[in-house]
Amino acid sequence: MGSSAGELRVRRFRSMGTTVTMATQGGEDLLDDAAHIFFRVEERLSRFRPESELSRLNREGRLENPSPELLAALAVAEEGFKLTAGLFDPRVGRLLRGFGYDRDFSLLASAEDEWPPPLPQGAGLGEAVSAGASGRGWWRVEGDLVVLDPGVEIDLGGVAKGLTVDWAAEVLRDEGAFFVEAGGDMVLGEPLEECWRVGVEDPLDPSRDLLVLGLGGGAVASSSVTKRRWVLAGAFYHHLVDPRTGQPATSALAATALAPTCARAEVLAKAALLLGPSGGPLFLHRLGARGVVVGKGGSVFASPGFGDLLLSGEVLEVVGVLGGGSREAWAASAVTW
Amino acid sequence: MRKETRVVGAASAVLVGGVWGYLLGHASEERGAGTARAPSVAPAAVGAAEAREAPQVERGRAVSGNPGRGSVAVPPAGQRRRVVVRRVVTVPPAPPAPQVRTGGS
Repeated sequence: MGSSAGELRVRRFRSMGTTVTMATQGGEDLLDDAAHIFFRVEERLSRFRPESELSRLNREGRLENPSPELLAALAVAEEGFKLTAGLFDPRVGRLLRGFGYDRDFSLLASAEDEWPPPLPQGAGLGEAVSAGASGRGWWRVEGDLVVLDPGVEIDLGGVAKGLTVDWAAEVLRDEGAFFVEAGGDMVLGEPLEECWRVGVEDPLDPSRDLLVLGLGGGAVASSSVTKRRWVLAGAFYHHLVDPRTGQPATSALAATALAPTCARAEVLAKAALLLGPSGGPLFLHRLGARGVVVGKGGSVFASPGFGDLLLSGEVLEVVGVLGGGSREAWAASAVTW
Repeated sequence: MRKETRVVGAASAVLVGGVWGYLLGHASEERGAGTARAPSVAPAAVGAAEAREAPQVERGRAVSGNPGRGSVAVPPAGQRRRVVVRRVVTVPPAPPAPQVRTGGS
């Protein structure tokens, strides 16, 4: 179960539908504690487990005595919604279920052999998105109850995983060098050497790294439309739905965000991917984060200054946007938080 | 490590009324301090990388939209824009291998 790599004790296991890797200079007991957090959160927040707190909340619209993990995830999801002016929207869970993503991904028919996929046809979030875009919350606490607004269904998948990585990292933080990584989302502690070498996977060829970054710490998360794809009724789907259209995103292949916490990085990576090469890098920059968006042609568009993190690869640092009345359009649609 | 940095289309920037305007006219090239790793990306290769994204990319002219700090603008889905690229940073691959990988899940 445990092994050592250099001075690091490493553990790998499956949780949340992905592989988790943790490394620490501390002992096995720390890894036990950190791993337990993953299993506990998965048990409570998976929408694929009928008796999880999240499934019951989605089914019944209310839940008595919610766990701190559920409340924290709801709060972080709402914060992400506001931070991204609705681009990150956990209510797309209803659409994902409608698209057939209603069970663990390993049980779905894969669509790994064809790319790019044709877009499916279907309705968007419609009124639900309009209501959410107003900034109104969609959940509340009433005494011992957590209550969802009528018709709302939540998918905490990405943000729950990011939060769990953050929580597990706190367990390992006081014992020297460490990292916690779950399906490519990670928190990096103090590095073992000069810096952590972080490979950014090529979405068109996952066997190779598009970039290698040298990072001294912090959190990293990525989103990709080339992962978790499936076929339903002859149409191809993937798990990243654009709340503006209610359809799987088509703006870019992948995005990676660097932020102080993994939950934040997860939110920002999703939003950056939806905004694409022309909007994603500057969006990250405006929020004080850094990252890249991989365009459909495979070029890597980066936030200003990102190139300083490169150990290998090539990035095009974006500093502005042209065309489409961009300055006015962006200013007119600006949302302040 | 050998790092090649290309400053594209502008050598300097001025702040005018809260909007960064990039001066036109020339491109310059900076090369970071390095030792053993030679730059592996020729200008032609850089151009090819850029062309794959056309017509979204336009280098070195005009100004950026900037709604200001503390705000974020969300354009409609599907709206295509060209971007201004200030720097192309290229570092050739070299060992050792990454310790951890990211890429979506």
